[in-house]
Amino acid sequence: MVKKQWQGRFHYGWIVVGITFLTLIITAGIRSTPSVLIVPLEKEFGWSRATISLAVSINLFLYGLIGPFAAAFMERFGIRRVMLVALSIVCVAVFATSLMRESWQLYLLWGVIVGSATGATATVLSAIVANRWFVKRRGLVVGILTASNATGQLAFLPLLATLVTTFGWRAASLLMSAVALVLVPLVWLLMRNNPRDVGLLPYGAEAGSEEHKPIGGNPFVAPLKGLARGVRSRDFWWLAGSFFICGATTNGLIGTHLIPAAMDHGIAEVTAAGLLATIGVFDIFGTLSSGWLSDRYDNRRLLCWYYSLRGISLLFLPYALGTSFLSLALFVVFYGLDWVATVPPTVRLAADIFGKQNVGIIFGWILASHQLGAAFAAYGAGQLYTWLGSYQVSFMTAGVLCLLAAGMVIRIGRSSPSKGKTVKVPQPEPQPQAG
Amino acid sequence: MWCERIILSFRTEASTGCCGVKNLLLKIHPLQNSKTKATDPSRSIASAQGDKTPFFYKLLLIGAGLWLVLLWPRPVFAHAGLVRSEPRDLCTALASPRVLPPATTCSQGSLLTEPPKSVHLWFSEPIQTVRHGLTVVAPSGQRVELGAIQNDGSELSIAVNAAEEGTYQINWQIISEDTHPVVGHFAFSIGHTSPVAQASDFAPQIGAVSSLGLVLQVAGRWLHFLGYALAFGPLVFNVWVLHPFLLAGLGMQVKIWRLCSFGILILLISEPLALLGQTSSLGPTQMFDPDTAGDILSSSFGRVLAQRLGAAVLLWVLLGSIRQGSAWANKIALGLGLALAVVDGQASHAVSSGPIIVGLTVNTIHLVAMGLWVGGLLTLLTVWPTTALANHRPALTKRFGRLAAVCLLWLVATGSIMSWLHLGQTTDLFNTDYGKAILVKLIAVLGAMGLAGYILLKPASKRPHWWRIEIVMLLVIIGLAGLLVSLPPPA
Repeated sequence: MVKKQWQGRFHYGWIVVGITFLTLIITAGIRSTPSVLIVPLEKEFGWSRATISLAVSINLFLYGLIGPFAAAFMERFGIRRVMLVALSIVCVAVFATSLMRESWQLYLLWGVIVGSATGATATVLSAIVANRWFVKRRGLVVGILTASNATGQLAFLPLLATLVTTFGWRAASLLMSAVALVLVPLVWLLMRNNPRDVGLLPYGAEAGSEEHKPIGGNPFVAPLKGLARGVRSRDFWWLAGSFFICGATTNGLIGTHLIPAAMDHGIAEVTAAGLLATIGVFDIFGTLSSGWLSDRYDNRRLLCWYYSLRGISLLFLPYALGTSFLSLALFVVFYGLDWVATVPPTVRLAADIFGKQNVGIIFGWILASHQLGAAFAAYGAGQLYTWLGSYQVSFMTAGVLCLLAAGMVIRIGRSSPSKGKTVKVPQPEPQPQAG
Repeated sequence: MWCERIILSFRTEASTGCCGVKNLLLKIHPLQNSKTKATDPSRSIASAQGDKTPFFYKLLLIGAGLWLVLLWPRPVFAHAGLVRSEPRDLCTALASPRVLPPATTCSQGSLLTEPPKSVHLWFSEPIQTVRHGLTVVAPSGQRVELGAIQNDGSELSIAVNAAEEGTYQINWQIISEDTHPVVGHFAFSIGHTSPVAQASDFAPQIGAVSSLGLVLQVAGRWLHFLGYALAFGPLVFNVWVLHPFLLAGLGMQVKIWRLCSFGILILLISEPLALLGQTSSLGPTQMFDPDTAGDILSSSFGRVLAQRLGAAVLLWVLLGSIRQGSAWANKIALGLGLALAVVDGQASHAVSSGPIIVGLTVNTIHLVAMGLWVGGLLTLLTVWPTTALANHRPALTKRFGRLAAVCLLWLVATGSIMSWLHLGQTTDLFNTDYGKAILVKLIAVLGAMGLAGYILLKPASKRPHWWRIEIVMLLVIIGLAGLLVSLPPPA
């Protein structure tokens, strides 16, 4: 039997994970590129920081909004085809940015096209790959892919910044376009939609066990139905509201504006990009630890701690920027540990409250709220900078908002029957860190 | 009663202590051979006291602390002030601000033969600019600045096109590093003098800001101090006074939490008021100007405002946990109270009096002691009517009395140090607004202490009525503290 031959050796699922990993980390890297382009574009075209930030915020918003719909599209047309189309679009659009002259081209290319196309291959892709290809080790796979996505948004920045300072900003665009181009044939050759396409069962599945059933229906209607169900619950609003603030303070504010803010304080662009990349590295530790903690402690308490500490560190960021490099490095380590550490407890709470059947689409919308927050903050901070000439008001507002979020998350689940303690839902794979 | 004896003996001690401090102020200026003289007052207190109460040791400790502090170099600056300008400001840039030149010379400014290419202002400390921070108005009423304001730390400059002959008016407004707004204007003339086309929209009065601004600043600070006392005082009262008697579960928790929430609300309300105080201090017409507000929020004031708001919100979060019975949250909340006092130090004169660490420490202790005393007293009055408490009232009063006495001691000690740090010379106490405010506050504090002693001689049943009067006096003292923080101390 084919199944017998493969078992105990190398399961093809790991190759699929590898390809997905590459795709996620590279599309995330491409999505993050505008933050090293802000100052160069300002200099070359004389666009204001508000103008450039608007493109970034369109990008961030569509990146999140497309998620629930991308899931439906993947069910309908297959993962491989959606990935190929998205990567090709990204490749062409990023190449085209090197030719842009007007600000509307920036909005269209970096904002609308790159935002939607990278959104189609983001968090939702990792969830679908893990669910279709794995029964055992599913938690580990989700962990690896989520971290690759979040880290990819930061890890390439030093390289890109070096390119920008040595060869100009167009070099960064061209490189990212070329990397996407290399990825297209790889996905075409190696990616598979389902285990049965290569004559396998999902990793760890027993023969005859329930196979993945595609969700029927219109790919546009199912997400909207899910949203309609979500908005009727108060906990949905607490979760979506706090995640809005999470997105605003990570991708939106720090991810987009930390580099230009550090440059304003006389820190070189490559060093500043290195700071963000360091956030990315510590993010891996933070997210894995948070996953571990979320199995053991009250998730609302955890989120309350994360948001409080993040808020306090944001309130002290203007001092860190103004004083020594050491205090800025300290901020970066601290903030990195807290970057997407909010995701595992939020996912867990959403699953507890809305049930495992609905959590996919509901979490898709909570994630969309995260990106809406990111878009809002990216644009708002740019506007405030253009008006006031500094980021202080943005950082301070973000800090106070985080503390408000800490107050919101502690109130989750008070209206539900499981008052006091979150109901624990058994994970499909309780030891994701073991492998 | 033990606590009455403490309060009474404390009253005499504190007043002698106060005189001792004043003696110090009078005697050790200039600072040479302060060593021998500074020890004398504490010795005289010791001999006057005779018996060895714990307070004697505490006072001795404070005396020693005072003495150490006084050895530090004098403060260099307080509110940012205009030190020098180009062209010269004949009204204030002269060596002594108290020796004014004749009114006409001051209002027409120095007479120049050549038009200056730019206007330069040098301040006593690094400053932060606000929109329209430096304007120059020609005799014809036209604004003649060219380009943007250059801010090089403590120096402001702007290029001007002053081709016209006559008297020009320079208006400036800045935010000091310690968040205080300061405004000023002066004139200079080219060729000949002429009437000033457009004076600034107000003449800075007390405290180098508009009167409305000063009132709002004081109101904002008063509310903030009150909010601080109400937000944190009840929590300390709960832990330190109620808890040892195992009185925590007698339905008083709800009252304490309500007081605490009320304090958080006041803390939140005080911030917009403080912002309005800043904007209107620069000129009543700028009160609701979004540009001015935005620039002020981008200055050190904005940092402090956000941290205060953050502390209030965080306390709200913690209070949620405390209500669920988290002992940890209670401890963190007390730490937060201390942290907020440090944050407040940034917006007082503490950061501008060198060395910063001394100013900040003293200011923090002063604020915490105020919060414990005022907040504790308000809590005592709130829980007093609870029937379950009836048997414990004397013990409670005694325990709170001890806390209040220690707080009062620290308040007087730190208050004296701060006065010393911010008064240039002893005569400033009578010659400057800041000094006069200190005097009034000193009298009010002595009055409040006297009243406290008097109240303790009354039978316990009549005390609450008198304590209410005491509360009113304390609120007045807090208001005076708000005024002191808003006024520029004599440099």
